[in-house]
Amino acid sequence: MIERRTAMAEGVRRIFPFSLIAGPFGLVYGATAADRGIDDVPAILASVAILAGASQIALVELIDEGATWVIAVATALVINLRFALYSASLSPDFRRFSPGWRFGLGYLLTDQTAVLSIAEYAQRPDPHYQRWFTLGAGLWFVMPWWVGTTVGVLLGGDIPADWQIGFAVPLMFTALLVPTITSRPKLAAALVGGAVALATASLPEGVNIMLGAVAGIAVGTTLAERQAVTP
Amino acid sequence: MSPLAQILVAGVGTYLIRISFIALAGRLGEIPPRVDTMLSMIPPAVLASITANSLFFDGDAWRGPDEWHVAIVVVALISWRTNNVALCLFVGMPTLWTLAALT
Repeated sequence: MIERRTAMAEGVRRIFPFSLIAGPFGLVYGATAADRGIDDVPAILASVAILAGASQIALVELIDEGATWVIAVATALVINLRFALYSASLSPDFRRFSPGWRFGLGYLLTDQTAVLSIAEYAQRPDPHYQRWFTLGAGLWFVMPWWVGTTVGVLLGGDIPADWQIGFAVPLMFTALLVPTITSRPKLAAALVGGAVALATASLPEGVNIMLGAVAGIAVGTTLAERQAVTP
Repeated sequence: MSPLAQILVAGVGTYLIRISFIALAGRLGEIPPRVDTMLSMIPPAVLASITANSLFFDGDAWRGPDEWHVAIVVVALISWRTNNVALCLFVGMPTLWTLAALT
């Protein structure tokens, strides 16, 4: 019992700084959706059903521009393909959870919750601790996202351009990225991943991110294996 | 298709992507060392791709060097030296605003 509370509290503690940015970012999405003429209920429901900001913004923009539903939905899903990689990374640990936990926690896997969980699982192999950690982090992160979305949808309007709120995206991802670089092969994976994503940026958003990720994983894995053979 | 239906279809699709490999987890055997190494490369490779994309593309337009990139370098250095995620998130926006005011 105590252990459960400790694990959840640790999840909350780790996600806390990111959760402070989830609120304003939800506000940006909500205001965009309202501005694009999406009704209040679907606009808010999107943050529950999809739970991935960049894809939600792309989706409401495409709906407003009158894209066919196939294009709109496919674009959102391609942007979200990266979640399959987190899913792969977490699957060795998730298989020790019951199906209920597996499929329940799977819903909560935002970038932030997934990346913090991957790092924590490497340190703490106890499945009981792991699942409560992820539940705490995941729930604490989605709540401000939902509140921010609702406020943004209801109030709408413009967020002053001077605030440069869009900077929250690279800021959040940089804060997630830097602690994951714990070896030279991982540094190489990051550098190659970023470079390939930029080099292929003329492709649809999401495709270039996947290509960068795959290239980075390939180079990082090759270097790590070579390092293991010749120390 | 109504906006609500499109949102729900995208939601179901996103959930299926999230659980893709997790759903297979029960059927996996021992993880070979090579796969384990590959899995460990996923966070840096994915996060760097997203970060680079968001730093250099504003919608479809290329974003030239500006205060965003200076601020990110500052944030990355703080994160690297202090290992303090909260600190680096808190100083991020004020650093950007300061740089924007100076330029």
